Amino acid sequence: MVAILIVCYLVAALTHLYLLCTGRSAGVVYGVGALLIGFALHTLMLGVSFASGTPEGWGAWLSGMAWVIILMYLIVYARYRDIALGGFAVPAAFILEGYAAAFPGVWGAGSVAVQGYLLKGHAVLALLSWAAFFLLFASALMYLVQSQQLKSRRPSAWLHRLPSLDILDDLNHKILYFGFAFLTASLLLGSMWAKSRHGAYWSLDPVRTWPLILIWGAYGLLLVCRLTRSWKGKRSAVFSMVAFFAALFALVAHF
Amino acid sequence: MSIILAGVSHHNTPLSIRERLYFPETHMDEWLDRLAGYSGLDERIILSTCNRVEVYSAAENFDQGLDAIHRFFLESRDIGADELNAHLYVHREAEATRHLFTVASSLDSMVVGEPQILGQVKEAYRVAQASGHAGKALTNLFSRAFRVAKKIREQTPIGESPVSVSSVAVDLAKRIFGSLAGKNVLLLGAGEMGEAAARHLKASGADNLHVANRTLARAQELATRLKGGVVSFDNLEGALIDADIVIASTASQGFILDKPIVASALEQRRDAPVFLIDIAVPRNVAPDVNDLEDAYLYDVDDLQSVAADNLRGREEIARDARAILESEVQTYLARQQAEELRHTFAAIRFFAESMRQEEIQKTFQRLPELGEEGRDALDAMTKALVNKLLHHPFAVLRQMSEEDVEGISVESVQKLFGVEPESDESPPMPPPDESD
Repeated sequence: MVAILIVCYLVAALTHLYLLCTGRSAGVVYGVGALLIGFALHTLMLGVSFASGTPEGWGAWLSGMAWVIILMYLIVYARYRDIALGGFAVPAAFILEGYAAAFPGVWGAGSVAVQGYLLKGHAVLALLSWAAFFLLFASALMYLVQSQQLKSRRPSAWLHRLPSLDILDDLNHKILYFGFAFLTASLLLGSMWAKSRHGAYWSLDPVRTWPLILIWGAYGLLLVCRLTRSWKGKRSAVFSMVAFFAALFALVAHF
Repeated sequence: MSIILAGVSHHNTPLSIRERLYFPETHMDEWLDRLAGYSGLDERIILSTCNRVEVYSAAENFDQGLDAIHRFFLESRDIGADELNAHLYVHREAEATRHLFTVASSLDSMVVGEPQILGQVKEAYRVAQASGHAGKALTNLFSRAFRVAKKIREQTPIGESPVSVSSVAVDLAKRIFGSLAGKNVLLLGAGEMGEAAARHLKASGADNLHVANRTLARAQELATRLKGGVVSFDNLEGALIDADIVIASTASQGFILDKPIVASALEQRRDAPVFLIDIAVPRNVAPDVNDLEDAYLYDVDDLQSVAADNLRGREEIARDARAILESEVQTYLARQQAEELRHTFAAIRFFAESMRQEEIQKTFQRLPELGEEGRDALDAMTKALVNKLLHHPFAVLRQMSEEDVEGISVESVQKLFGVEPESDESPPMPPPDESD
């Protein structure tokens, strides 16, 4: 079953990359079709594994991450009928899922024992927010490329492969909302868990927590600026990309 | 049945001759009736556009058919035989099929990939079909051509990039704003180019238009024509704040919009991008406006370069498209030939069987003493003889036709056996199904 799932994601990833790089429209049905089949299988497998007990180890979390990325991309596809974001989302999900399948307990099964509802909630919400920030990064990158294309006055064929600036900015805006909301909720649950476990909200090592708080602050600042000062377009895109790289470092520090 | 195509196009014939051969589309059925008056053509379709005049026909005899088309051109159009012969190209069968597929797919057009030609070919077919001039052979051919054209449009981005200044401007606007619905267009100046671009944008959904011109009366006149509003030329700064798309085409000798003016408008627009189309010569917008983060400025040279790039891109795509087309031509010809072979084989079998019957009756009359058993044996023997005689040539012909569709001529097979398949008597085809 995992093998079929991996094959589906591989087919979908290759098709999406091919479509994005050639600008062709014939073949979308295969890419999205393979993705939907893979996603259905993936949902089933995650459902079964959750029903039979909490999945342990990195594999399960990476697989969950892949699932969330695909889910978000499918929502975006349903809304905009554009495969460009899939050119980033589907290969990323394929790599995550492939890694999860190949090395289910690579860092030791059970090494990340996630016990209790608070901690589980914290982890799931964190997953959602990281998937959102990855897609935010992808949409920001596309915005910068597209804006550069238009500025150059001699746009290449990529002009027609990427969505319009308006759509990309809209995506940036909406994904930011979701990502920030999930991250906020995840941090809250995390600190509640810390309180119940250690009796204090911020009991973890400051090196592990402060970077995350800073990332939360950064995305929060971006959101506030978008809402109050109508930060749009390029500024927001650059900020999203920098924030994502910073967030990767914070994540590494967290573990 | 031969497919014959004779015509002229922009490739080899100057407009001065094409315009004399042109058939106005309003009375196309009458022209078809007139063409039908020349004997030798079983089916006919006239495709007449500003870039080509072509007659497609199906005929029993190629030479007679071509002669009919010749006479039709000479007697109904203002052209001499020498002039016609110098320009008329003639194709048959495979070449004619390839040509029609190429034309319908817009690969033979002056602007490769332009979308109008497919509609014109469909209309030419529709008129001929409705007036009873297109029968089974041309219906088969044309409906396949429509499918090939559709396939090429789906599988290659041949028609996607715009190749005129106005359509490039609209395309760029769409890459910035997505949908143009609800976008504000500000037209500076009342020039013709500006009006054309504004019309194009409006047709693409940008329905909120304002005109500013130094002469207010001209602005009002243009605004009425374009169903837009008028803004005062003295209040450009204010108008600029609301404008998403600015088209500048005034006769001003200096820049009307410079960096500070646009920068201040952008600040008030809170980072919402503005697309400036400067089609005036000399330019109306200072080039350094493009350095502003959310301003996208294109002058007439930029737009023309994009259009030229796109046209070159289409030529490249056309190469891919021709490969698809060639395989479609081969598939179609193979299918047509298999069909025709099947009819021919049936006719030969019918011919052989009637000959066998005839001969066997003669033999029975000559040998009345032959018993029931003897008659049966003779019957079986002649049947086997006929089957064995026909088996080898049929098998070889089938194989040859599979290997190279253009290599064998079904016509010569028919001549060899002295048969003519009666494929024309099948009921007329319904109009082609364009759904797949």
